[in-house]
Amino acid sequence: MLWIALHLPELPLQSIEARLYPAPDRSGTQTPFAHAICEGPDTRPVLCAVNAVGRALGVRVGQTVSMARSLVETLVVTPRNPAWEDEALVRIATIASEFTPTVSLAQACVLLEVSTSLTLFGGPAKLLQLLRVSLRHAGYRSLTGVAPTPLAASLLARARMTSPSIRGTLDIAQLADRLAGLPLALFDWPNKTLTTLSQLGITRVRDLAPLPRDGVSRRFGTQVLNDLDRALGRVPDPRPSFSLPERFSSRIEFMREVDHFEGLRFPIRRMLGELESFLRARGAGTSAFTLTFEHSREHRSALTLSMQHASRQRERWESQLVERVTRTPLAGSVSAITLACEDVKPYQAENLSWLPTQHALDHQVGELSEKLAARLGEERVFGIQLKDDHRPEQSWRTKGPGEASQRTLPAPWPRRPIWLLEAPRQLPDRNQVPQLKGELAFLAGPERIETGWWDGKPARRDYFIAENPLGETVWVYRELHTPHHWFLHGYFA
Amino acid sequence: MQYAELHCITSFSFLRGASQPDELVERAKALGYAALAITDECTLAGTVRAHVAAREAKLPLIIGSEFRLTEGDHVVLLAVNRNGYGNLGELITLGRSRAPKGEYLLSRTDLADGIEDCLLLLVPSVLTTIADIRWWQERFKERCWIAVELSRGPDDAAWLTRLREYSRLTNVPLVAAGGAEMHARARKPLHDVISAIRLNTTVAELGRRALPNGEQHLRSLDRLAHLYPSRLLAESAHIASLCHFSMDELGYEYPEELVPPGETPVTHLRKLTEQGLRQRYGEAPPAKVQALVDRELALIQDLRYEAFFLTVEDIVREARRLGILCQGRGSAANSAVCYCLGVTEVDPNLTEVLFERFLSRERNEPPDIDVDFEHERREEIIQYIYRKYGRDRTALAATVISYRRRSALRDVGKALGLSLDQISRVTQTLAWWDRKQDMAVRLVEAGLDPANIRLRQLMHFTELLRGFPRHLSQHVGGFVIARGKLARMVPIQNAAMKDRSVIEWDKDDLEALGLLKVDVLALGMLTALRRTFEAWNNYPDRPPGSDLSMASIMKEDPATYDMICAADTVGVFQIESRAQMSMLPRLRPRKFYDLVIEVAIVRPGPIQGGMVHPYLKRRKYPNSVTYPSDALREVLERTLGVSVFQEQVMKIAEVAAGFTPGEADQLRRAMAAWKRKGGLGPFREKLRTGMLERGYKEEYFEQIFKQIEGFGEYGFPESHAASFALLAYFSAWLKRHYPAAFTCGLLNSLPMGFYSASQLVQDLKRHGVEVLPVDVLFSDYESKLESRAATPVLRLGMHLVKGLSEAAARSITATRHQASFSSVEDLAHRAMLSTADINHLASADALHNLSGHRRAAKWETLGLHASGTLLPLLEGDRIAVPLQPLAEGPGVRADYDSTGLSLRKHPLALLRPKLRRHVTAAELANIRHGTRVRTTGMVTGRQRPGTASGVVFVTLEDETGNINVIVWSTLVASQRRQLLGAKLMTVHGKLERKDGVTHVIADRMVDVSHLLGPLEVPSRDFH
Repeated sequence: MLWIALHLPELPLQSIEARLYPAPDRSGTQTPFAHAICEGPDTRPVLCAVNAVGRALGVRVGQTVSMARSLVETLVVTPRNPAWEDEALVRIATIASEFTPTVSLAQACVLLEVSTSLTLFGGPAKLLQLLRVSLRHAGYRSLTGVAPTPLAASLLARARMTSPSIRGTLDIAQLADRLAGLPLALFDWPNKTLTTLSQLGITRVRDLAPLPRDGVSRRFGTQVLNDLDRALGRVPDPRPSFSLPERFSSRIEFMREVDHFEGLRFPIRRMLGELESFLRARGAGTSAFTLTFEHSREHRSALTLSMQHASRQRERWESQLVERVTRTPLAGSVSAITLACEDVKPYQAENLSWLPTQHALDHQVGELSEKLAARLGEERVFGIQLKDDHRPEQSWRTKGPGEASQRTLPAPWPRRPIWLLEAPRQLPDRNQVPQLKGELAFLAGPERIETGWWDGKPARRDYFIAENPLGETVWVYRELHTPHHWFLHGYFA
Repeated sequence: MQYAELHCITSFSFLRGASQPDELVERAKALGYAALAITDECTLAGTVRAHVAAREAKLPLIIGSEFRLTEGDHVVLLAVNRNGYGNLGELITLGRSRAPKGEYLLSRTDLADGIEDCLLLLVPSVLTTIADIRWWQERFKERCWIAVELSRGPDDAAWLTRLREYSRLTNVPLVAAGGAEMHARARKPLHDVISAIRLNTTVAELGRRALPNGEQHLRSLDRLAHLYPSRLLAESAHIASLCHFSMDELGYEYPEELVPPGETPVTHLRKLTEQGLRQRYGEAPPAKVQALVDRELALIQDLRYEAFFLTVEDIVREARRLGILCQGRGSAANSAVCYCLGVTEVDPNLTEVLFERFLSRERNEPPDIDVDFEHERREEIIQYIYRKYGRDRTALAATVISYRRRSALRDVGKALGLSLDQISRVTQTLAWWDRKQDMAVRLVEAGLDPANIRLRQLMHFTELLRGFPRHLSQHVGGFVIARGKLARMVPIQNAAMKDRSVIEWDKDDLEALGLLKVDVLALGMLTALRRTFEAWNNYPDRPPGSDLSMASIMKEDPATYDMICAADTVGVFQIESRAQMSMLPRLRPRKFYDLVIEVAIVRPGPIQGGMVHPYLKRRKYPNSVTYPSDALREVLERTLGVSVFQEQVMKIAEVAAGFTPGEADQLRRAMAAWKRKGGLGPFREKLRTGMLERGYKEEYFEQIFKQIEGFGEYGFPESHAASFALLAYFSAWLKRHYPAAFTCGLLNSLPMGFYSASQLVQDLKRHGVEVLPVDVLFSDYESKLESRAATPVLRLGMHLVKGLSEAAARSITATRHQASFSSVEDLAHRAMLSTADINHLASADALHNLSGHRRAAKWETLGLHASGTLLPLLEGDRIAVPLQPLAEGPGVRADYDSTGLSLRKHPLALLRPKLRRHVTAAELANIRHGTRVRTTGMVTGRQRPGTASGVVFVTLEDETGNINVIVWSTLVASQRRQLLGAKLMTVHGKLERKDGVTHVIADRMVDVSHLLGPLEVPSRDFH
């Protein structure tokens, strides 16, 4: 058995850097800036990771956000995101799976059992180097430890945080010696145990050895000695095996909206690289995946790339994408991108199933709307949904076809026309009475609507329900501000 | 046409009303309304402010309240007369008492007897039925109306028709009302913002929970005439004419039980005062004092304040009975009468008495007496007051918590949908901005775009929201006591604190109505004094008859003043801060009145007003004292021609500029408020003309005016300074003559004052008193005095052991009295200690006499408590384990970690070999002015006074004492990191000495915290 441990002390930062991009400029590059991750209560958040720029300016882990801001006013602080950290750990495990079938996840750590793949990669040193390169390409930095037991490997990896020159070992006979000098604080023991031990002056592995075993167990429970035994290989230490997910999905958000494709290229490249790594680890390829661009105000646009044959070459996908985007430019500035791939099939093998599956039937509606969208143009197929707003034109919005409606709305609406004009139409007036195929007679009103100052679409109007000589019931309004024009806004049935 | 708005809420319907009471009153007046009703939702909190504004505007004001009942009804009650007002107060109190703070709960049953002398407006909704209207009609008979509120809804005409039908069917008349929630349409956006804050959402997400339009404001009569039938408008004026209650009718009704049968308040107060006079001065009191007493009593009788003085006397007498130290302060407290009543110890013979300045016939204003009690025992006094007068007759005054810039930014930011990160960025940059024009610069500095529309909205609404009330909190200790049911005067709410209730008005409201409150405040120093006496009186080797009490303190003791002049005042009340300490050697107090000045002069007011240096100069060269006129000589003579106290500034306005006492008092209020509101302008002109007319020079006027501005919110009245100076003198005397007992008293009263336990103990050791460590074989819970070679030494108590429960410590002491402990096991079993307790004791090294070094003790106690319960030790557990004792450095660190102090070497003493060429605090005293020095110490304080334009004062501590460092603002900017980050700091700089005060002016700071290891040094940072 030979274990490599990848310890990821900067996971909180790296997982966010991998998912949340500062908006790059037109050339796709971006200036470095101080960035830190915080955790803890809203009232007193504390930094748990700091990037290199921040560190150079004196920002340190453990400072409060306000303290750090007083040092560097421009510091960008992002709250810690455990979901993204888990995702990043899976991503790293996926990369590791390219090197060995036996991968296991631990706390901020990925473990690889490599005894069977050593020869394939030309020995431990070579394998480690290849592994590091792959990780670095994906944007992750780790500390590595090598040892015959998984726990020892991860302890050695962690130890490198403070003593970078510490060496691993392949030989179980040397293990006890190597571990003797390690601080006990490297173990995942409760803080209370660690504090008590250090109060007793027991701070390194070697300090524990001369103590009576029953005395230690009595004071600290069985975990302490048990962990020590596992690390030294005295008792077995089975680890759950990591299994790759069925589908691939990855998402990147931008700190500010990006309005040009150049700015998206690097993040897209990164996601395609992740997809490639995923497929490689699964020994699979794909013939279709979808990029979804999120624009402002919950608009989305999607771009599906289909290939005749399953493939897993990032460069090929990338050049195809560039072609597509040059033909149909972005639908607007982008606040986030998602890359999803459900179509995971054996690489270079045909899909043999001809019969429609239940899954396919469920998606017939979806397919129909996709076909319609393909014919008519994506923007012409949508669902509609009510939105709680006094402004009639803001009281509904479009949503993606088939997308579920959101929460129900409070309070019934007052009388509203069945057909609301897309844009209000100005009406002529005579002696301040609006005209629409004759003079309008008011049935009800004025209903005053005076709102919407916050989003640049203010409405200040008096609405009337009115009837014209043809018997049509219409909804008209008069602007509250000069020149007090009249507008037609809708028809009642 | 006549119209009265009968349904209008203010900002005191928190986060519902978008205008302040005075804005509404002013607008109603300007529009020519016949009257305005303030009908906040189940509260009268805004009524006094509205009343004051209405009195000024001469607008008839109606007091009412709106309610939403559990059945869904929405009603407005208006008080017709004093009785109706009282009933309304009781109803609100009832509704509030049933619900958690900030809410209320009322149902139809509570109004079913038709609240006497109140009128009812039913505000119908679409769900209201004829049956509902009839239900109300049956209860309120002719006092019931249907409010017609038309605010340009979907179909106002149809609504009016429907209500007319209801009225026809039930004979309940209709009346026009506005349901106003703001004074002007322009407040609609702010209304949206506060609605979003209240509903905890954003403006964009608010949807139709926002008002559809801005119609619910006070509309012009023209507009109303256009909207409502004139009969409905006329009805509103008719209703208004039925309501003739005014808040001026509320007078203070004193409690009756203070006067024994057969006496009147006048005779009783005189009797008590005369008794006190004899006690203080014997059978022949000084004529001066007797004359004062007579004059004061006449004045009190004139203004009919006897009951108030009797109330205070009663409370103080109870405190004395319980053995709780207390001391009064405030203008009325420092009177001969209060001295005789035992409210204060400030001898009228020793100081200029200031009584009449605040209690004047002309102003007829409530007297001001604050009484400080020992902070740990104030609760007993509060409970006494509740017991004596009953919970329905007394409650605390409220404190209205209003939006400040920071809180407004936060809430408005959230309502506008900014992220927490963006908001905190803005709050952090803008917190110090004092002028609006700096804003843009600050935003740019923080990497934000000031032209951004969101940010502009943020700033706009923040400014609007500032000063809006947010919620009611309780005043620190101001009690209002009524003769009858208090709720009939002002509604009472539950306070956040259990067993407390608060009225809905704050101290300004009470003052505006001329109502009295008694301030029952807490003061740590009084606790410390009592504990100092206790420490000495429990000292086994004290000479017989040497018991200490307040009475043992000698007046005007030269040795005490010597100590004060040397700034040897760590722990002494008020004059222990660094600023005070650096003033002492310059001012050199030699008598009590000097201390009064010392206490008052080291304040932002006198410092900003530029009074400190002139005063010191005149003290040093008495011949240079001059007065602009003989009249002012009288005012300023006691402070050598420089105005130090708030009272003097007012008196100058009277004497030099011809202000009446009433005008001078207005000036005092304006002084307190001008930073927030401005408004000194008119006074400036009046003062200038007045002074020039009386022959004072323009520049003298400028100087006086600058002082007035400087006093601002920080003016310190002489009456308070005198009381504080007295406590300063008491504590200084104890420190001088009973240093061990005094430190012991302070330690047992922590947290209080400026200094940590560590600093207090080091100071004591420097005074040559031995200090013994915490030890389970000797220590009590509190620190105490032990005897060594017949001199008192300080034994630290187990209260210093972090994490140890008081019960455990007391159990140890009690068990030890039966028999001493033979081992840790014996201790743990007999005192029944928990695992945590015994661990804390081991960490604090309090077991060293039982089990040797700290680690051995720890190992042993861990074994004892392995399973969380007490187990007998196994044989194997008694074997000595191979554990190394702690080295000296880590030992000191462990001391700090577990008790906050160490009696071993100071950390700096341990580091000294590495810092051999750095000068120590003690050595600084012998170095010449102007010498370049390098010195290192633990940072124990950083202070950035608002008065010192960006200068930061750093205090360093080494093994020989404290080092005062001054960091100029340019260095603050360039070495921010070292300044804020260092726990251990090396300072390179220049020594400066003036009038016996030594500072190091920093040229460069180096953060050397790494030398300390993980030692926690708590630094106290003051802004």
